[in-house]
Amino acid sequence: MNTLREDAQLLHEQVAPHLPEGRVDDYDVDALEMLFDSYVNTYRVPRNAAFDSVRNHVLKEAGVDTEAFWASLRGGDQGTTEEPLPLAECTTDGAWVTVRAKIVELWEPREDSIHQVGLVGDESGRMKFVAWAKSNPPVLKEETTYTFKDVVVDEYDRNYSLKINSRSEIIEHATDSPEAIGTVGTMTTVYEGVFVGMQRQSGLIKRCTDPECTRVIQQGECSEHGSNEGEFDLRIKGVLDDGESVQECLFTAGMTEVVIGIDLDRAMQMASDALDISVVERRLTEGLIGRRYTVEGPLLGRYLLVDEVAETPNRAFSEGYHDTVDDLLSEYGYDGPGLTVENIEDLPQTYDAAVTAGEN
Amino acid sequence: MAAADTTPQQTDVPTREVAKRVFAAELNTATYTFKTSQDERAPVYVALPTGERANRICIAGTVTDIEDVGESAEYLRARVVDPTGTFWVYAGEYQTDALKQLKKVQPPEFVTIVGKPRAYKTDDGSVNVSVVSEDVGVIDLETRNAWVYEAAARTLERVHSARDTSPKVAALAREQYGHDGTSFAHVAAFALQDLLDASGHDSMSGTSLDEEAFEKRLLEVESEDSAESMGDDVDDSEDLESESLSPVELGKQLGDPSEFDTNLE
Repeated sequence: MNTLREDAQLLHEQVAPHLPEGRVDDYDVDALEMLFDSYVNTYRVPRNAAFDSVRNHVLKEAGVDTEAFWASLRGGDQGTTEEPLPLAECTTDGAWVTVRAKIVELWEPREDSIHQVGLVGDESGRMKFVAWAKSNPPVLKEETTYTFKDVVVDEYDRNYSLKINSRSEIIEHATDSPEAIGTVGTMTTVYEGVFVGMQRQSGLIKRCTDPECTRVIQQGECSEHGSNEGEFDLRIKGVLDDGESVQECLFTAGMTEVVIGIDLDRAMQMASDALDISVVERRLTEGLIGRRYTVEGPLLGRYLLVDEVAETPNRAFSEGYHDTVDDLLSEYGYDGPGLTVENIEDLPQTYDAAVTAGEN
Repeated sequence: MAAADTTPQQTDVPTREVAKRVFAAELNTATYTFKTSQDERAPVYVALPTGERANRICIAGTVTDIEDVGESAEYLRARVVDPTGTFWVYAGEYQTDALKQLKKVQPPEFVTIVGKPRAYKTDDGSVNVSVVSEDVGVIDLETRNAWVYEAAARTLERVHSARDTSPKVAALAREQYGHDGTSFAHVAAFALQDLLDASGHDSMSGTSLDEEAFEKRLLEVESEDSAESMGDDVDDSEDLESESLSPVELGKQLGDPSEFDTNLE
C-alpha cells in the first residue's frame, strides 16, 4: 500500500489543476499529507477508505467543480471508472461511477419527478437506483443488463443508491451477450460487537398461518387475519454494540441454532416443559448477553439479517496479546506503561503536566 | 420484500444509545450528569472526564460480592472489579431482567453488565457513581480480556480526540472536573499492562493466559477494594480480605472456556 506521502502526491496531481485560484497553496502536498495523517491517525479512518474521504473533503472544502473534476479524472490517465465498478464498491457519496448491472425490480414511482425507480444488481450485490424524469432517460426493463456510465452514488443513512442524471449514458446488453449479468449477489455487512440487548418478540413466537402473511401474532390474533391458531417459529431480534455504534440483528431459527444450539423443536420442548413460552427468550438472553459476536449478512432496513455468526472473543488478539497491546499503545505514542496500582491515583490530573506520553 | 426494505425509511425510530466502554477508575469520577432537553423523560448523561457523554455503558469484570441491600423490596448490589477499580452495580424491582440474571451469578464469576450510569449524593455530600443494570451476562475469561482491551482502546481514543469529536462535552467535563482526563490514558495503559502481565511474558498464542498471575492479580484487586468503602477506586492496600476469593473457585472460572457452551444445553 502507498505511504501517506505517496497518497498525498497522487491526490495533489488529481486536484491541483481544479483548485480555485487562491486555494492552490492551501492544498500543496504537505498540507494534503497532514490531512491524510489526521484522517488516518487521529480520526481512525480505515487506511483503504482514506483516499476517497480526503479527496471528498478537499473537493468540498476548496469548492472544486466536482462534475468537471470527475469528468477529467475519467478522461485522464487515472481514469478508473471506464471499467464498471462493482456495486458493492459504490460507497463514496457523490462519486461519479460506471456500473454494469441488471434491473432486478422496478417499483411504482411515488412522485412525478421520478421516471423510474427500483433495484439494480450485479455479482457483488444490489442497490436502489433512481432515474429522474427531467433527465429524459430511456425506459429500463426488468431482467435486462445495462452499462450505466456517469451515474452518481448517493448516500442516505448508510444506504447507498445510484442516481441516473442527464449526463448519464445507458447502454443495453442483449441477454445472451457476455456482458449480461447472471446471478445477482447479495451485499453483506460484517459487524462485531457485544450482544447488549434482546428485543421483544424474540424466542419462541407464533406466526399467522396465512401463507401470504406470516405476521407475528399475539394472544391468538393476527392484526390482519383475526383469530388465528398460529404456527411456531424461533428467532432472535437482538442488539450488538461495539462501543461506537449499535446494530440490530435478526437471527432466523437456523441462525439461532448456530449461535446458541437451540433449535425450534428444542425450544418448543422447553416451552411445553415450563408451560411458558417466554422461557425460551429468557434462556436465549442468558446465553447471549455480554458475549462478543461477529455477524455477517445483508442489511434489511435497520436490521442485519444474520447468515453467518461466530463467537469471537479473541478476534482482537489474533496477533497475540503482546503484539496487539503494543500496537495499540504505540498507536497513541505511548512507549510503555510501567504503572502500578499504587501510583494510578498519584497521576497528574492536568493536561499540561500529564503525559499522553511521547505524543509528538 | 426487497422493495419494502430498500425504499427510504424516514420513520424516526429513536436510536438506541450506544453503550460506552469505560473503566471503573474513570466512571467513578464521572460525577456530573446533565440532560440535553428540559423534557422530564429526556435521557440523562454522565460527562466522562475523558470528554464524552454516556447514557449507557457496557462493562465487564469479576463479580466478587452480591448483597441484598433493599429495605422492603429486593435490591441487589454487586461489586464488579476491573483492573482499575470497582463498579457498584444495582438491580431492583424495576430491573426485573437484570435482577433475575444477577441472582443466578455465583461470585467470583466474570460478567458483562449493560446498564445506566447514575450519580447520587450521599449524606455526607460527596457524589458516588453507580450502575443501574439493564442486563447481566456471565462470560468467560477471554471475553473479559477482550473487554479490557476494548475499554483501553476506547479510553485512549477519547483522551486523544474527544476535544475534536465531542467538543461541547469535553469542555463541560474540563470545567466540571478541573482537568481534561488525560491521566486516564495511564489508567488504560495500566489495564493493558495488567492484561500482559496476566497473560505471561512468553505467551504469543493470544489464548493461553498465565492463570496463576491472573489469579494473583484478582486477589490484589479484591484486597484493594476491600480496603476502602464506597467511592474511591484505589486506596492504601491494607486490611486485606483476600480470603474471600478462593483459588479453587477461581480455578473453575479459569478452566476451559468451552464449558460455557455445554452449560447452555
